[in-house]
Amino acid sequence: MNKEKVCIVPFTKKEIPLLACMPDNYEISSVVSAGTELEGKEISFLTNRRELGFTASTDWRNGIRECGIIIITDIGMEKERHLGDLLYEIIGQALGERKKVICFAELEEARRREFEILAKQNGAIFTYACDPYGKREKTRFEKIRFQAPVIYLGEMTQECDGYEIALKLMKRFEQDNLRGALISEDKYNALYEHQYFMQFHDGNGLEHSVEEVKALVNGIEEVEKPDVIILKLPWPMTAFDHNIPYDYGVHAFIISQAVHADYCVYCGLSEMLSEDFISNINEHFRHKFGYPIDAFHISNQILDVVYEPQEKAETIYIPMGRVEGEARALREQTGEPVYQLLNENDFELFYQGLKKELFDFSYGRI
Amino acid sequence: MKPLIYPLKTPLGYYFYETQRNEIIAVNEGIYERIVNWESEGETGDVQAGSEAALAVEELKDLGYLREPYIEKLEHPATKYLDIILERRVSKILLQLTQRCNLRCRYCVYSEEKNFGTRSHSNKDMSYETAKKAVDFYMEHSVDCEEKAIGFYGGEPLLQFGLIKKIIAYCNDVFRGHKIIYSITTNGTLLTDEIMDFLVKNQVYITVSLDGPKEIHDKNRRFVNDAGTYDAVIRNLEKLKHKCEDKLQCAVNMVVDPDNDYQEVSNFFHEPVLKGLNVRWNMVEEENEIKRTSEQFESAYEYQTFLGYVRYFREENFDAPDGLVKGAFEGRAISDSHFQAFELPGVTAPGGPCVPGKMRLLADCDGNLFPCERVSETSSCMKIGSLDAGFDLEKVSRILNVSQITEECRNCWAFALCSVCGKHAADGDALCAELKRKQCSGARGNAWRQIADRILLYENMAHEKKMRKKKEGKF
Repeated sequence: MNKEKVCIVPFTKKEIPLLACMPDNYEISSVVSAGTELEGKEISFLTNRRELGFTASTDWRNGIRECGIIIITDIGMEKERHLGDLLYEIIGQALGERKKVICFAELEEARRREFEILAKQNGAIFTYACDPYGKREKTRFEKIRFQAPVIYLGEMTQECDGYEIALKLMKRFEQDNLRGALISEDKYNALYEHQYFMQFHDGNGLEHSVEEVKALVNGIEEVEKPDVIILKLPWPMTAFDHNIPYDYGVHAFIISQAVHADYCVYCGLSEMLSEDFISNINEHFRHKFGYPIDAFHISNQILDVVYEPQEKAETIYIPMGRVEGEARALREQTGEPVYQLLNENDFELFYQGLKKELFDFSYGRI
Repeated sequence: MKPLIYPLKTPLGYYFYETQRNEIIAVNEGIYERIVNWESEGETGDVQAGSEAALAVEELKDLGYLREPYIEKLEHPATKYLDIILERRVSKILLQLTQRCNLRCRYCVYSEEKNFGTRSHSNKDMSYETAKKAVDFYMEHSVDCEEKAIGFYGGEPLLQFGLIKKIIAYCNDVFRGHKIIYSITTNGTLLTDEIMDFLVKNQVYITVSLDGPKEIHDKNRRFVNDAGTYDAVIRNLEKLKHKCEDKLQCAVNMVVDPDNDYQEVSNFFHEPVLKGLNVRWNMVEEENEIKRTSEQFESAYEYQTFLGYVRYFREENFDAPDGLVKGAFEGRAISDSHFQAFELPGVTAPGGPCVPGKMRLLADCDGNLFPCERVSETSSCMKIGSLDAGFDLEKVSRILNVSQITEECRNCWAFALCSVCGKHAADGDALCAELKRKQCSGARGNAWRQIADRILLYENMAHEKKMRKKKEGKF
């Protein structure tokens, strides 16, 4: 297959899942960071994991020259401000060189239009991939029965590797000729087929967003006939603590009432590595959501205890090897399904268990 | 054995603070008396086994309260990951740009007059090479920090304005894409239009030192030629305030000498020049310790705190009555972080120390590293490494686990609320248990105040609820 070369800019740790699971028709030619702090460093440095085979550069002009597609990463308006005009300069240059630009960064309306015009003038392509899938005018409240098994992927705090695991699962299903569909809040889903960017917090009210999920799952089932659906839950599934409540897991709870989970993967911090914690959280889940956790992913992060109020839990990445070893030891000692799912062996072990649970029945009611 | 608790009574109620759970429990008089007389009565005590108080005590024990001390080992929980924390999450770096200063403040830790051995005035400046090395060091050790924070410190850092400009240009390049928080602490006398415009444009948070009204400020803060600095500081502060669109970019720090009249200092907070600014204050230090407050100062402070609580509960538009109590009071009344319930594990450490070098790593003019700007730079035990050699993790661990030099900490009721850290024990090349112990009574006093404030808040709330019900005709 003829692969298109892709430059990712400005690169942050949020884009690491893309490096691990790029769509088959794309090949990454360069990863470009905004500041010189990453210059010449292996990307794995960002999350203290094993080498990924990519080195960061700050030479965005060269990055543009060498590729056919420029992915402008998902940065919010606030972050955009810290970049000054760099982002606009990069997009302008890329369109000037008639490259295809896929923009996940949030742009002001006027700026967006400006780039669309520039693309037209230069015969380039500018795709603004910042909007979720189209919503229906009216919400139908209806009872729907789903046929394909649904896997929930939930997190303990933000960025516990959930998205990377979802992408890996999709890829692994594909290898087994199983058709997967992924629904999540991650904008990068637009890069992949059968993956849907859904904004759960759109200000329309909780019940509407839940209905939207249900309708979306139903729609996907009717049209695509997937073998399995992965639903990456928005926000962490529970309040983290007194200071960081997130949404108290309200979205996760209501979605769990609307769409039944057949399998649940919970991604957490390394503090989860204890038998007590695992059994307590499992108990809590049974009571709160009505289902247990089928597999635990232990991210190589520990909590950073800070004293100022925060909006989200701050973490520190510890070496992957430490967590892999401890997860394996806990699994072997207790029989609990604890894995480090970025590790290939652990992932395969987990995957075979999941497949057995969801697809290999020796009998069943029809 | 007596449980690790602290009993307290007020005119309205009886309480005990349970150290190992960091909770305050309201009890009745009988239980309180039994707890207070624990040792003299013994656990079963003279009180009849079946008495109401004895039963309640048993019940509390069943619920996990009134436990005997069970801390097996004093070790800070961050010890296990110390290497990684300092490798990846140094939150802020302070650059000591110079040791020179154009003032000779009487209480200054650098001054000849009141030099307590923490450091000394010299003509040392930080070179651009060292500054760059410090920024690179910070970059290498802060990969897990979304926001980057760089502080300019001195001596008087504005004596090195040219260097500040170069550092900011370099940092903007290195950390592009991150939110960068610059800050500077200055005596405010060297703020020219050019400097102010530059600092405002680059969103540098500016803290100006101002100690109070002219007579008080000029008593301590003087130029080398012994002239007072008040007029110059006020003039510049007015100008700076005018230039800062975001008033929060500019703050004032007051060093309060409790020998001065409380009211005089307190009234100064209402000066027009301070309006809209964030005003912080701290007590002047003597011999590495906070200066003891006079009785007049102390009682005025307590009374204003009390008025603050009253206002908080009685008035719709709350505004602390007094600038001196405002910060501390608001912290406690509105977002109290001291009393989050937890269970102390068997291996733990008292509340005081933070991970040395993580929160406010100080790089001095020569590139030596210190846990923060508050420690003694002349005590070698506080030097936790250098830009060239990196962190000395053994030393860092010793400072973090300073409680290990005073093993009796594990039996102290103020364990979780303690505020003593390695700084207080620094004595040349070693940490000194005796020096540290000198801080204990002050730390216990602070812990007591936190508990008492919490109770005052609780009682006020309960009282207010009652009054409201009375007003609404519900009894």
